[in-house]
Amino acid sequence: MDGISVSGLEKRFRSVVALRGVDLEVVGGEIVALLGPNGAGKSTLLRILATSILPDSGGATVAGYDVVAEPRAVRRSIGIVTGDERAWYWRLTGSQNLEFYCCLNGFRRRAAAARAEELLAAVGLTAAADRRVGEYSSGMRARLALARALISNPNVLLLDEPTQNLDPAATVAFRKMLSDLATDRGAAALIATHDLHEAAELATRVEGLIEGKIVFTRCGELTATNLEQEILAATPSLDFSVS
Amino acid sequence: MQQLTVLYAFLRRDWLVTVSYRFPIVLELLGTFFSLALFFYLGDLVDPSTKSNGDLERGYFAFAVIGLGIFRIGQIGLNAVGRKFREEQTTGTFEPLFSTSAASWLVVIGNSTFEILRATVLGIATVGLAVAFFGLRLTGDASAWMVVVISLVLAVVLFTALGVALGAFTVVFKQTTGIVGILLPGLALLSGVYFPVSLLPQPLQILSDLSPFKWVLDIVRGALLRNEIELQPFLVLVPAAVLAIPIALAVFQAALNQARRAGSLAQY
Repeated sequence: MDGISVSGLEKRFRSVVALRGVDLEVVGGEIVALLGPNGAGKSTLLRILATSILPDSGGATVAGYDVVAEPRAVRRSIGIVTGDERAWYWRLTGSQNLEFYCCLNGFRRRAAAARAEELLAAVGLTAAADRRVGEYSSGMRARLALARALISNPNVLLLDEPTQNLDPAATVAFRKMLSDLATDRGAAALIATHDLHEAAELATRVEGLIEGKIVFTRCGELTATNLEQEILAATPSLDFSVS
Repeated sequence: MQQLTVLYAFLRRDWLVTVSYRFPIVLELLGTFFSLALFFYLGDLVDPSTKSNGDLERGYFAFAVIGLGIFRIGQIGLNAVGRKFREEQTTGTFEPLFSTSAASWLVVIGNSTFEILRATVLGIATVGLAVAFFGLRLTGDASAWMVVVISLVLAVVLFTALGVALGAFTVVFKQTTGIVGILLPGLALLSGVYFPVSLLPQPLQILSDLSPFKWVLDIVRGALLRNEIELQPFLVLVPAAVLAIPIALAVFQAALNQARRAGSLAQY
C-alpha cells in the first residue's frame, strides 16, 4: 500500500511503555490526526515510522517499505516535521540550509538550488531566503521545516505539531497546502496535534492515542467540541491546583 | 556521483559556517605561529643537553615541529567525528541528518570531511611556518616526499577511522570528552610527539610501538629530517588504514542502531 500500515506496534523505553499494540492504516489521499495528551506516544509512533526509533515488536510499512528492513527506502518516501525548531544550521541562510538537505536527499547541486528556491516560495519565505536562520522567528523556522519535509515530493507526510509556532495566516495556508497534497497528489498524512480545531478541520479521520493505545477512532463530521469530549473522557484527569 | 554531491554539500556547509565568523583561519595560523615560537626557544634550551640522543640529531625544534604537525592532524582527526556529532546533537540537527535518504556511512564521513581537511592543512602549515619563519631545513629528496605524502593520506584515513569509532561512543553515550581527554595526552606521551620514546621506560616503549601516531611520526621524521625511508612502520600503516575504515563504520552503524533502539537519536 502507498500510505502507512501499522500492526501490533510496541515500544518500551526502560520502565515506560510508549506504545502498546498500535494498529493503524492511513491510505493515500487521507489525512489522519493523532490526538492524545502529552506522553501518549504520538511522537514515538511518528519517529518509528520515520525510522528514527526501532520498534520492539509489531510491524509497520510506509509507502510499502518496511520501517526496520528498508529504512532508506522509507526515508526517500517521507517528509517529516518533528517540531524541533532548533534543528537548523543557524549561521546559514534559509536557502543554504534547504540546499544542503536537498543534496542529502538525492538532488544534484543545481537542482538542489532550484528546488530550495521553489520550496521557499511555496512556504512564503522567498524574501527571507538569504537571511540567516538564526534571525528567523519561530514561525519562519516552522515554515522552513515544512519546506524541508516537502523536498522529495513525499508520498507520506509525518507531522508532529507542525502548526504550533505558525501565525494564523500561515496556519491557514499550511492547512490548505496539506489538503491539496492529499487531494491532488494522493499523499497520505499522519499529523500529531493538540489543536482540536485543526484536527476537526483538516483530518478525514481522528485517532485517539492514550497511554500508547488507540482508544477511539472518529471519522465523518468532526467538530472540536466532540473531539474535546472524546479526549477528556479517555484521558486520566489532571489536577494542577497548588496547596 | 551522488556521493560526491553529498560530500560537496557537507564541505560547503562547514565552509560557510567557518567563514561566517571573523578571521577564523588567520587566528588559527597565528596560534600555530606562537606554538612554534614556544618550541623554537625551548629547543635552544634543550639542544645543548641532548647531543647524545640520536633522535634529536637535527635539533629539538625540528623533532618537535614534525611531532606538532602530525599530532595536529591526528588530534583533530580523532576528535572530529565525535565533536561534530556532539554539536549536531546539541543543536538538534543530528536526527534530521540521519532522516535523509543519504547512506549513514556517507553522512558520517561527510560530516567530518571539512574538519579533517582543515586538520591536514593546519598540520602541513605548521611545518611550512617553521620552514618560513624559524629556519627549519627539510632534507628529504623526491622519493622521501612521496613517502611522506602517501603516509599522510594513510594517516588521515586511519585517524579518521579511529575518530569514527570514537564518534560511535558519542552517538550512544553522548558525552565523550572524558575519553578523548585521556586518549590524546596518552597517545602524545607514548608516540614521541614532544620527546623521543627512547626516554620512556622499556615497557612503555613496547606499548608505543602500537601507537599509529608513532608509526606516522617515524616515517615522516625519517623522510624529512634524515632522508631515510622507514619501511617497517609503513608496512604496518597500510593494512591498518585499509582495514580500519570498514570496521569503524560497522561500529558506528551498530551505535546508530543502538540509539534507534533506545530512542535517543534526538537526545543529547
